[in-house]
Amino acid sequence: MPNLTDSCRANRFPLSLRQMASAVGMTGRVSARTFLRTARCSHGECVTLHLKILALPQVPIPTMLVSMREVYDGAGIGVRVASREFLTGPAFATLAVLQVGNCTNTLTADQIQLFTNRNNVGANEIAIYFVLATVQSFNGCAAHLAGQPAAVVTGIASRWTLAHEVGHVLGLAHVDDPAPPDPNAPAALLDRLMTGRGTHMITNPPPDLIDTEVRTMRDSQLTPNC
Amino acid sequence: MPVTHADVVNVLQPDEIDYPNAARHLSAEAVPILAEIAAGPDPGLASKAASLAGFLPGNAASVILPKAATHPNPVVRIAAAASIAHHAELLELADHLAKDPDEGVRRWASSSAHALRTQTPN
Ligand SMILES: [Zn+2]
Repeated sequence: MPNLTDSCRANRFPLSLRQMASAVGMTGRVSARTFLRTARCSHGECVTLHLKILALPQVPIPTMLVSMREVYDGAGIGVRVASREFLTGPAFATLAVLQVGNCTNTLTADQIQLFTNRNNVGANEIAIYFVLATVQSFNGCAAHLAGQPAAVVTGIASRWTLAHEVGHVLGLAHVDDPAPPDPNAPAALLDRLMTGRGTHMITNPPPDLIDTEVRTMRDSQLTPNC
Repeated sequence: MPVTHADVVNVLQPDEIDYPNAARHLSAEAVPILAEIAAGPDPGLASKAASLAGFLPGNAASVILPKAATHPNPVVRIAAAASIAHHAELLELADHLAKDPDEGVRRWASSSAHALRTQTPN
């Protein structure tokens, strides 16, 4: 199982630190701290995540990160994890079952309260809150305050939910809405990351991003050069 | 066209279900299948079945939520406890869940029971 390291590449190959550093253009003696702080991936652009963990999901977070990198690599976008923090204590125990309503742009008091926790999150960086569950029950929800990019991922998320929710934060919409039983539901596109039919249903991993989606993601101010 | 178990699972699979829209278009034939899923082994599908029950008209919630309320996974019981807030006929179930061993279930059940009592004249 890969570990939670921060370089775009570090999770993908079982290399030594020296090999990883060399792969990203760092030479000479490199400490782990220096590598994680300064390593640059081969991607032109990166999305930077800060993981705020209230509860651990069924699918391990490293699996979600590896899965996300599988998809985002194809778009030329690196995925950096800049910090991780466990949010514990009575207040967070309550927020671990997060009231999100119908996950619309009208945020609940719970969402607003949770999203104030942005330690270490810089401008144009995304906070990801791992919660036990939402009410109503969702795998994730990308609704967030303007200027404070964030998404929620729940305990029942699939390995692709993190990538999917960040896709929403970067400006992507579902590609096959509305979903059944709506009589206007189009054919499901289960080979696409942004399917609205459930990322547990994805059939040809890693799921696809088409050119227009990649352009939207790379045009986002949340994917600066790295 | 008859509604199958697979059809109902497909309704519950989206990462972000549009619950009001799903409830609007779901056939009554789906209700016993939702009850079966609410008691089933997949906590993701079971909790979504419980959330959807909160939006369904008629006696659907009375069929589905008692199943979800006895699920071994507290995430499913939490979804049931929250959905009861929309169904005055299930006040007794809310009171029962307010004594659940899980703190999250108790909190949501108490909140639903309170909401129902303040909505319903004595
Ligand atoms: Zn989505």
